[in-house]
Amino acid sequence: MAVPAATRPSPIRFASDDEVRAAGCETLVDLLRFRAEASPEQTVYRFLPGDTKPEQRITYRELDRRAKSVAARIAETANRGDRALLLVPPGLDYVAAYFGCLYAGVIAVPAYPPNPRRPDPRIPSIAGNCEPVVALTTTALLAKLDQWRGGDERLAAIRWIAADEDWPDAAGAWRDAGVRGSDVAMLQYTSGSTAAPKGVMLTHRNLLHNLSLIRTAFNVEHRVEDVGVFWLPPFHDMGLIGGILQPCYLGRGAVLMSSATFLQRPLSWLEAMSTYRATTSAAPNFAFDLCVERIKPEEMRGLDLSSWHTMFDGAEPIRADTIDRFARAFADTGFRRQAFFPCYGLAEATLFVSGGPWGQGPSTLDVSRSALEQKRVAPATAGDRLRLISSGAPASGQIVRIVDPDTRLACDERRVGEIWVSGDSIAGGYWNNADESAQTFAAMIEGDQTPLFLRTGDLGFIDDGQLFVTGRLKDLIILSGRNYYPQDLELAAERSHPSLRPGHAAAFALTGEGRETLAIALEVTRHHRESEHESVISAVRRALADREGVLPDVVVLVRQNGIPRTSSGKVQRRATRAALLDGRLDVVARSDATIDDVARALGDHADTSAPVEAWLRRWVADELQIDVSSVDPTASVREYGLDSVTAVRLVTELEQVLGHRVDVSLLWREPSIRSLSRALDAGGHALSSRTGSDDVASLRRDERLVSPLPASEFPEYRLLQARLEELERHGLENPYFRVHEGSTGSTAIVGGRELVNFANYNYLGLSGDPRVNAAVIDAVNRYGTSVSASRVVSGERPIHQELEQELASFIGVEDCILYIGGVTANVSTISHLIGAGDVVLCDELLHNSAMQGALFSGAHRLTFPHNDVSAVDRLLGEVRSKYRRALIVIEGVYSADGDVPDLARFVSVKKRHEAWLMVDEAHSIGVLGATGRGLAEQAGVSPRAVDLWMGTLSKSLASVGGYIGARREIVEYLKYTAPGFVFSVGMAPANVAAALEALRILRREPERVTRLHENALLFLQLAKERRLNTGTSRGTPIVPVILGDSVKAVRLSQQLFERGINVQPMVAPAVSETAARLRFFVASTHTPHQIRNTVETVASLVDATV
Amino acid sequence: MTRSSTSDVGARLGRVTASSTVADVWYAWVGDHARDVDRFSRDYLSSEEAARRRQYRSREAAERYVVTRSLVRIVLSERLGIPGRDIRVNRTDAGKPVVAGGVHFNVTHSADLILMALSDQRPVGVDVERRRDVERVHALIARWLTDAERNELAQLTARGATSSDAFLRVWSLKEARLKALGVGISGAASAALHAVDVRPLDDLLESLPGRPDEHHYVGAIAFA
Repeated sequence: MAVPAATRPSPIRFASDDEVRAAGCETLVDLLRFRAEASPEQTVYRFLPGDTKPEQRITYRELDRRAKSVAARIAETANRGDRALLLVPPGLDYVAAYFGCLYAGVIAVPAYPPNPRRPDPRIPSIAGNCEPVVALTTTALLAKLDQWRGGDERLAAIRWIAADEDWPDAAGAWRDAGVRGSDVAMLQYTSGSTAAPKGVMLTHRNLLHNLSLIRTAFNVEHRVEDVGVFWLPPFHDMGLIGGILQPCYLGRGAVLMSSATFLQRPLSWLEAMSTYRATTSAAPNFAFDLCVERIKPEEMRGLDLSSWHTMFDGAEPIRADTIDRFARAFADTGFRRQAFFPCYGLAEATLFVSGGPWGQGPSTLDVSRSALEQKRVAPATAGDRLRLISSGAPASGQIVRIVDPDTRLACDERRVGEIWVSGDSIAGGYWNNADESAQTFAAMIEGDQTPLFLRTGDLGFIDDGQLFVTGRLKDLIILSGRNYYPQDLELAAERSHPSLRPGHAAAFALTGEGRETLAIALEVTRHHRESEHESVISAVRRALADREGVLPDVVVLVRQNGIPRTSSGKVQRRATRAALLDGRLDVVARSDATIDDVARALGDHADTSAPVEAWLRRWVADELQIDVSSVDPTASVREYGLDSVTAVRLVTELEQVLGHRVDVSLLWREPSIRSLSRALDAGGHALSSRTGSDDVASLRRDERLVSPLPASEFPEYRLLQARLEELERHGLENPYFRVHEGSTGSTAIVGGRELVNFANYNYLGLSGDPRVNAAVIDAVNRYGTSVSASRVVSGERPIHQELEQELASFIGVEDCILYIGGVTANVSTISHLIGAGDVVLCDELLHNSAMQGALFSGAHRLTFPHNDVSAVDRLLGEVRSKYRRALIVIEGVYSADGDVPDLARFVSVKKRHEAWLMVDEAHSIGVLGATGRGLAEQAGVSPRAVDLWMGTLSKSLASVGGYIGARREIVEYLKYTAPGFVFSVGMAPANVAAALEALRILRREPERVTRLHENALLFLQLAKERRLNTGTSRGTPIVPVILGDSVKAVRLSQQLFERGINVQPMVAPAVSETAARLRFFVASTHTPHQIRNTVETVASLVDATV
Repeated sequence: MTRSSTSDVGARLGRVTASSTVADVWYAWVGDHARDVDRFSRDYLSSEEAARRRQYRSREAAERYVVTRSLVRIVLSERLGIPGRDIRVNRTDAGKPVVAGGVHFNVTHSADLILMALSDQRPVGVDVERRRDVERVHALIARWLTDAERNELAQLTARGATSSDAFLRVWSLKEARLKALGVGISGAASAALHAVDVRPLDDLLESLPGRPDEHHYVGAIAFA
């Protein structure tokens, strides 16, 4: 397959071994500086941001400059040897920040950038262990993490730097920190546990030594060109050392992408491999399985993987069936199975321990399964065979031994033992953790004083110079390429329910259907009752999902003392696993995950109780490390046995949340968490008698000072200015924020002149109707101008419910909830009903508010091509099983194009995949259907087939506000819990009355809808006759005239304005430049004459400009 | 049927003297009695206490409650010469447990350890805290300690104590005083508080037998 020359990286100059040595690179700082000097203009990294956004690239010179710039800013606060937390998402900013740390002589501590909605508790725990002075992150994250940073002592003291802010001048301030090879360059945290984080200390020497081992193993000397494509997270050894440092070390190029890009679209990885003629990549087993599953034969057609000669992953042995399936599926792309480079490694040994030989593919060895279980290596016999994949030859330049972990004697060749490694790649230990370091890094083989060995915790043997890894001493569980420590999972699970016995659980992996699955066995107490099985199992699932982010496939409850233990009382996970598989385990209940179970397990994430109560329950749950569902709101805090320090801490935090003082004795006086919450909610009771000015001052002390933002440093504002200036430059008047005098409908008065108006959504002419005005005046006289409180508290008025009920009956749903804005209705409802673990599918043309709701929800967001219901079907087919809830969001009428979706098909797809369907009827309520009841009426579909109807009151209904129409329970749930409703003032009486009267008129006068349809049809027909480009508009009162040029669109709007016609342009970035347009909103009150005249004027102006 | 022997629950730790007032201190490890709680609750607890035990929502809290009440009743039973279950423990208006018969007692717990102090002379308060990292310690210091206590704390940290450690020491002195007076944290004028005699329990706690515990404890005893 021909690759366009332009996309191919330029040939890369071969950097010989000597060259590297000649540069005298003792450190990675030396290395990059040497590269920047020797080949300044060579592109070292490209980053593919995904979503068809263009690649970003960086040369050695530029990387050197940015590293200096970051380093100079770090050096303002930190000294050589201090730690810098690296919380930057994958990309060139990440690379610059990493090297910036090294340039400053500070120790880089990479970690996953936290999700602002659910920051990883491991980060504070890592910070507690390594006490960083600075943290590098991005501007975007910095703002979102404000509260989290301020709320944790371990984070609050750190100086935070936005590494994506490039300060070009800062590089000049950089001073060489005099870094040496023996300095620690980075800490690689390996433990998944928050209790005991383990940061592997890697020196520059460790890293350079390991990079040299890899170069030798990869046979690099014999090739001139190597290009790597890497999407593994750069926060871990494989992605960082293999994907970022190795290419720089070799002086060759790398193309980077984020793992999210790969996971969303596995094809993007292989496309990049093909486009860049890449030779090298790294990925765990599941990535290959995913490619086989997700990539369709027709998508493979353009791929050329023939350049790919090195594919490595040392975190887990490559599985034979994975190799077979991938090689078979991708045979036509030129992929060779010899590219699989078998290897083994771990962070404690920098990255790489053994591998190769290069270019031959993995070799296998058949051994006797029964012998292996006895830790012996014996030839396979018929019926007693296990096929092992080699992990390659131990790299020359280090020592690998097989040692009996108990006796510490070296094993002979025929025995399985623990793999021990020694050499210059072995880290110095774990940071600030002398005990673990001594146990892991300073092992001695019995009888030998030197050298000291690293205990890998992995079991294996060496056969004919090849290392075979057979298992793990430490029972590590690897799921989808992530490591889990069974202790962590057990701890989270066993605390989830009082029926479980602490310390009596075993988590382990099962291999089934080609992937590892998680099983957990837990002992129940004698008091456990059979009726509780289900609640215990779902508590376990929920705790694991919540705290560890995993969903167990199998949960078994075991009778007391049913889990095998050693004589010293340690849980025997492998024996438990074997007993489960053989049916010997004394199981009282077993649950294999089905989607329903998982859904139920995750079902009541959302707390339906009042905010203070929910907060208190969450606090108690976190404190006692139990699941929040097991904190009973009718129990008192006392019954959870809090001690005095914990109690005052609870009060301290409560005071911060509530913003006022709280009487401690309430904690002991109130008989339940619920009554305590009410007392606190009521406020007055909770205020202690001594809320003097002194207290207020002390509360204020915590508030952050926010400095005013100078506009010059706010690039978004500069962009806006540029856009407005662009209009001016073309001699155009600013068309925005034009003042309309008086009420607007089919006509408007601007600057004292009456215009025919096509720029508002008063579709039925009800805004300005005297009956609506009268109803409003009446309501204001009766209820005033504001309800002055949330409806939950004291803002409820009779007309709220009247409007909700009449709306519900008009739409044909059980119930309705009003929000004060359409935007609020969308944002609040969507973000409240779904969350992490869910998926939301949005039409690409969806209104911003629905998109924001999806974004804020934390659910996985997928966008489908406009109105492409088949794409939704396909997407759900692929991903539905991975998520708890799935929500499809579409609109009744899309206001950019004036087109409508095929509701019947959406309903059938949503039913097939057990998804929810939400329809935004902002532009369709009062508009579609013979009587204006919206999309359902127009499509002939029962309104109850749709889960959520959203609509606005500001268009056909002559008011302001939004609503959600749905089943009664959903509406009730939203009314009690949706933040945009609960924490917002109720809709003003005037607005309620306007919508209510407009709705009543609409029901009485359906002919308004008929007239609207006639006018819309007339406009569209005339426009088509005059060959105006109206796009896909059909059957709606929104008719675009597409001009394909923003300036042309604004100018035409101006000319029409001068001729007495008001219509708004819609230009980039709201639509793409080629789709720039005028948008006509036709109303029932337009006269045929106005419509004819308008179309005629538009057409003649358009003709004149062509 | 009551086997009122201190060997059943905990043991005497030692004697403390402050300003010529004497108190005896007993201790118990909750974990040593995890298997005995059903029996204890039958043998030693009053019926109200047995009912209260069932209200606890975590096993640990319930066990601690049973062992604490059992220790109290056994020790008081020996001192007063009446069966443990017949002892009437009343509460003052502020909630401090007291008994008739000229005996003053007070109990405290932290983690696995329970301490009980007993004096014939003056009302007593006792507090123990397992040494640990205290979350949000600076917020607690700012919110709950008096100026005098903050000075005490500053002296401890100046001598190298961590903030958590120093806070727990000062806190235990404060709690012991409050408990000796039988008032809540917002109930005592600072003058009354500092008129109470208080001393740390370091010597006694260092000699705590029976547990190879990596966590040490700090504590204090006070007489009103």
